[in-house]
Amino acid sequence: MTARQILSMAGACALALLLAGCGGERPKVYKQGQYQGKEDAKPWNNGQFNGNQVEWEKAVKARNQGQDEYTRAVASAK
Amino acid sequence: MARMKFLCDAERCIECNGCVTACKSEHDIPWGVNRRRVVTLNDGVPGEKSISVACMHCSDAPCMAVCPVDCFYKTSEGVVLHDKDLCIGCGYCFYACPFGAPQFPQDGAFGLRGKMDKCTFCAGGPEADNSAAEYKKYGRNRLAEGKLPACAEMCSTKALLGGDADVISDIYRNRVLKRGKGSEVWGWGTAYGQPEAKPAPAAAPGAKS
Repeated sequence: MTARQILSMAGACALALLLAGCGGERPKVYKQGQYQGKEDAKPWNNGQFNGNQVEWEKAVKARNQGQDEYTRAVASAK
Repeated sequence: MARMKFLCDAERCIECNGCVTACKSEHDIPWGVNRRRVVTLNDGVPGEKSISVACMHCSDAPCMAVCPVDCFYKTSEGVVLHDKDLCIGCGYCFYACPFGAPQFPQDGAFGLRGKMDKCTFCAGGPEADNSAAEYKKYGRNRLAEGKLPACAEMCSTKALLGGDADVISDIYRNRVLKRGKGSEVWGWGTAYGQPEAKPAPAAAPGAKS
């Protein structure tokens, strides 16, 4: 193996190592005015509601109406 | 989807601080941090009015606009939340907020002023729902359990309403139309009893029976 071949092989290895460093997580680029933090899951995407948005909305609506004592009083009088 | 809002009825608030206590207890809030507080106008003067104040989850939130690290975000339900891992505790949001909602703990990684803490509408933060990390940083996530904020649900007089803006507006509108004044106030009879019936006038002597 000639010295030139050895040098080109070493260069190829060095290039491969350098490129391997670029394969990981991409650096985050700051964008003005955009949320930079972690993503938040939807409140219905959990074990209780299993992604069922309709069920979640129904539960919240029932709680909402529970704050109205006029309707609660009528319901309890029945 | 709903736009979550708070609405406080000053005619009903009795300054009991039940909402403040409920919030503190629900999220294990440390000393010196008050996500919610009761403000009384003309305190001690007859006719004083109190309202319960916390983050109002503004539609165009000034805290979001001024944050230099953009750690705020708005959920699809209109709740303004922030990522504490990004917050640098600079306090700009406190200056921008017209309600004094952002709070800063007196210790932690930033010495005297820690990372900002505020009302989350009991919706936690950007961590796995109902995880230990979420509870530690942001408190309990009641919204993910299909519940509304503890302060509103605990309010004894239902002065503080929280939830879908359309629904709580309807509740409040209906209340204003029906509540009346003085002894006509709805619930007066339950609280103080029905007004006593006046005794029938005694029959005049010699009058025909």
